[in-house]
Amino acid sequence: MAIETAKPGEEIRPEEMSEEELEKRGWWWWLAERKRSKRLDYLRKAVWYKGPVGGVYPCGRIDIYRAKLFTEAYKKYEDEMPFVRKAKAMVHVLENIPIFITDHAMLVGYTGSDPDTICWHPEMSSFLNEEVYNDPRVIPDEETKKIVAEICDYWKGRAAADRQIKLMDPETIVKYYSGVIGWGIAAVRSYANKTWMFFMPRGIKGLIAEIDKRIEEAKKKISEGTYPEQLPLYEKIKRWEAMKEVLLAFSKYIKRYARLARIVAENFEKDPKRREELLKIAEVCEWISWNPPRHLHESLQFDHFIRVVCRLETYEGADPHWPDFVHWPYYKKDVIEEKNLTEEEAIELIGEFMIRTWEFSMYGYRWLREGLQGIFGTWVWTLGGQDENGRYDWWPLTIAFLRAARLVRVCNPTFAFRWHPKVPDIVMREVFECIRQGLGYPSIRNDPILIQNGMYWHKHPYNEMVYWVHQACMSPCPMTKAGQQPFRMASATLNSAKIIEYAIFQGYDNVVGMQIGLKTPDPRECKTFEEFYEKCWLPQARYLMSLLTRSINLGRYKNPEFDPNPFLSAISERSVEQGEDICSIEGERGNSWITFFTWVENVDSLAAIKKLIYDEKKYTWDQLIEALKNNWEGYEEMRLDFVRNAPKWGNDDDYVDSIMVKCLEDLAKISWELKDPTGNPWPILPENVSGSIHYSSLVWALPNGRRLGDPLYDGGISPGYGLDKKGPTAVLKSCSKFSHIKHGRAFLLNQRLSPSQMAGEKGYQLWKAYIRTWADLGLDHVQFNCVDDKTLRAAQREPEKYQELIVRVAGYSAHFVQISRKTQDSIIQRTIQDLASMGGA
Amino acid sequence: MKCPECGFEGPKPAFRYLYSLGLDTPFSLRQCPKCGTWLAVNDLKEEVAKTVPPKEPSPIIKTAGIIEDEMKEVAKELMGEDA
Repeated sequence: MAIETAKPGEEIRPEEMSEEELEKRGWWWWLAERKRSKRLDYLRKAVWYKGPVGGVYPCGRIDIYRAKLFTEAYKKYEDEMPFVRKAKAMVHVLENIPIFITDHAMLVGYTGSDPDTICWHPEMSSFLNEEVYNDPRVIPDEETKKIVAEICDYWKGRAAADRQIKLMDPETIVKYYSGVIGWGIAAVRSYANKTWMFFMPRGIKGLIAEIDKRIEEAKKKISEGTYPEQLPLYEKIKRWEAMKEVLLAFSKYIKRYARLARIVAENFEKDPKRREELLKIAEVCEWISWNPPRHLHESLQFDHFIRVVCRLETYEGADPHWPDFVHWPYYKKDVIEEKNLTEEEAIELIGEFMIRTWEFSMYGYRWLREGLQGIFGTWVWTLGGQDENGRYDWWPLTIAFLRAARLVRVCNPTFAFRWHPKVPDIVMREVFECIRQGLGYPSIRNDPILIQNGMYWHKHPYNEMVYWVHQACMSPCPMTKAGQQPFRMASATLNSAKIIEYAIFQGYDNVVGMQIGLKTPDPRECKTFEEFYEKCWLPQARYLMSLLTRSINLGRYKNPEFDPNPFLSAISERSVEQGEDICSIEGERGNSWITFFTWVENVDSLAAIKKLIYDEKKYTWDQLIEALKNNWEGYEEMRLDFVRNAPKWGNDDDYVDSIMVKCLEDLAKISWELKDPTGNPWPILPENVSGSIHYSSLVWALPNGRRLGDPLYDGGISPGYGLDKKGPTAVLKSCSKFSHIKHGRAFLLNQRLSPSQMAGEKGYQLWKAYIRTWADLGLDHVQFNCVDDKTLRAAQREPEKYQELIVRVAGYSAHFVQISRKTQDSIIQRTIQDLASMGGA
Repeated sequence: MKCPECGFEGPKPAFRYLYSLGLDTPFSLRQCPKCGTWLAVNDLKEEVAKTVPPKEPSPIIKTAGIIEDEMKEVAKELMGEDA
């Protein structure tokens, strides 16, 4: 069954088509619009689309309130210790930032003062502040510009990254901030896992009670006797008091929404139904402003407020969450036991919950805007999984989330599904339906493998690791007291294609024209491939991994001083217990990892060098280096030789696959040598987001045949575009040759599917067989695009007709028409796998 | 090499390289330095295969997996009998 696109110039009237016709055409976005309620449809369309396009925000303006209020308070409380000062700043923001309620909404709360505002954290870095100041799109008038200038002036030298830079050696700073090897700013917390199982059952009341208990105990200790163990308690008491202060402000912030809802209901709203809804909002907010949630509406609303305020506190670039697990007790009570809500009503609320998250916006650096085209962060929610007894009782709520996703079709949050052998078939069908309908999610995670992975690398016990969530798009981190990962900046992120580039050019970066890598020997001196690998390639890897992780370690170590986290600390079990900032490493079992962008280029390039220079001696190093220096210009025949006649990853070819295994084994050894502040290692994690495009102009020509400017491979362990010639089984077999437990943290695999092949029961069975093979082979991750080239090309011709077309970029999904042309073309280039060709592994 | 749109003539490197149309093919997307037109270029033969007008999809050449009829046509147009 072919999926039909609109013919060029064809006047389409989806509103006149039946649901069957829409399904037949694969016009899932029109189908979703038809199926969702008027209210959900309104809410979906009412969101301002602020995701960056071409590195800029297409609409929206900077939220001056959060930045101004925060800065005011920082000036006022200059003499306070950092934790207390930040807490008072948060209090000032929560008490004074304007709030609003969207028409027809049942959930409230936003990271700004108006729906079109973009949250700005000037305390992060002067680099960021300069970008804001120089971005005319987000500054609507001269008055705002003046205020922005004043704020920028205040934070110059005071911002967290500015302070960290003062501690770093100049060489590291230049290399780090050159933008060619890494991604990010070392000083900023970025995204935090949360101990949901701690604060949801307690609510604000329970959290304050815990804190009060600790304060009382500590005060008792410092009033009796004299001994050294008393000394830390003085500051701990201050931190606890600050946590309490910020929680009380959080409570007041929620009450402000309750009051606003009541005022509108009682004085302005004429529609009786809407008046009732506003009073319901008021009732929900009044309850959760102090008490733990009792029902699904309350739990979703409380959850949402937590994440709003975490984002008001700092730039949260991801959204670690396990919403079906966390909200199961409330859903079970409302929908299954007490029948307060129908399943449809619950799905409606969940749909809005997702829309409210999609709405979040924060001003990010240029590299972030280019590396995450169309979105603000990789907000990957974990679904599925199991508890420590191997149970998966919450699968009905998993289904509700999956159905809601198909109705609202947002590209953030997306889902990652923790697969295990006990997942009921009904759930797998719903997962498949999301993929088939072109959402690009859920990605599929191998739960048994990843539980073992976390136990291996970071020594989490089983009964903690089993409660893991995606820290960002890939890395599994438990949401337990000792397992919680509160701090993950993007900057332990390596543009790893530079390893092979620097190995060839002795550490010299041809793009920025300076020595960035280690000065390793001239490859021309290497008599064997092994010598080149050991003397040139491996040292570059070690050097770059070490350089980046050292910077992160420093950022983490200084974070409680440079940019404390009183709100996150107040809701986190470990910090409430200890009276320390949650980013203090005390009591944490580290979860660090190094994201390896642009990884497979190394393996394909090494294979080409081994075969064509050393084994067959068809070319010399002189010839290769000359060709690469010229960006392969004038060497097209040679370039094609390096592409076509050297084995490529993803074809179940031991020649190149063995190189992958060797590289990963050696990198794993380096990972164990590098220690994060907790003493735990730094395993690698190959994946890409849209780093394949962002770095395309920053990575030089390579022996795999790429030229400067070509999109890099789409990430993780995905084969190069069109270079996987032997079908999906061969891809899986290649990927199974290394250990997904011991050789790294996780390994991203993108695969494209044919929509016509995925239709009907046959399609489901084909996909299910694929997943069975994938699981049997011990892979940890796979994610799918299910869209044909015809549709993508039609969207390029007439983007206005395909505004809702979603694609999986790498660790995230985006609207196709919002990503760059180069990114679009790279997705079209991805091989569409023929699952029908799988005869079994 | 000559731009079919404006007639600019020059060596291939003068045409700004954008990106490959298929890593294992000799085709790439380049841009005329004079009129800015996107061109699909055969890097082996050093000649322009076709222009790529704005909003027209790039003539990407698929060489693996399921290749749809439309993409086969694209390859045929660019590569002729070699497709």
